[in-house]
Amino acid sequence: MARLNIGCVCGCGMGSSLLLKMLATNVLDEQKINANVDCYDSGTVPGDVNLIITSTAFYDGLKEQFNGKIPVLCIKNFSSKEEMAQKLQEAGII
Amino acid sequence: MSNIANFLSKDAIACNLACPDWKSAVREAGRLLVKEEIVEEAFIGKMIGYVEEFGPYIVILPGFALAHARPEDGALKTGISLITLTPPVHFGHEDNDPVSIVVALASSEKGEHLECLGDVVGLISQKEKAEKILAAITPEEIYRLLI
Repeated sequence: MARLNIGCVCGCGMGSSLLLKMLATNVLDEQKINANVDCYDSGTVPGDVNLIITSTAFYDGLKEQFNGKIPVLCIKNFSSKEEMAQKLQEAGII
Repeated sequence: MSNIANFLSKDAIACNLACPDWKSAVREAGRLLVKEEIVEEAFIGKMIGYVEEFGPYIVILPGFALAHARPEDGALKTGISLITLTPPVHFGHEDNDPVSIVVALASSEKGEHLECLGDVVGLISQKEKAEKILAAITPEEIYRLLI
């Protein structure tokens, strides 16, 4: 399978998106899944990512922007590996 | 030395501030960054501006807000400040309000702060540690809990 490209998104691309990246990388590593995980601010998400992970504030906007073409996950608790694992599982990534 | 010690000084910590609203809380945390010459004055307004634009998404854990702006918004160095709020302040977040701990983050380079940020959030997400931070009455006490 081709390497997955995952985009973590917040307002600046360096605060909460970075925490999402750490959380996601943690879970993916445990599952031995090979993926590129990068951070973006909400205005600069490239169209070639396979999956977007974000928080409540950006969820609706991103869903609308990518119009169902790219799945968008919404994480509420930034310290919960369980929530991240569960959402990645629902998305069929792990 | 922990990653946090590289980016947080005792002088960038303040305890039990009484802030009337979230803007004033973010401003207080930002003022410490200015005092430590980590950011320019304009950085503070930018941190507030992102919340006004995107909502209270910076409240990433129950009781904890991570205020930040971009490197190009006036960050001179990479560093953080931390304040505790008494009483807690509402940011308007549906799950994680009210906020008792605010960390303001500046990074002069994307990525440089990654380890530090991870460590801070790791500590604050431990309930027992967060309670001790909130009970602290001096910056020294908080500093010792974090490094």
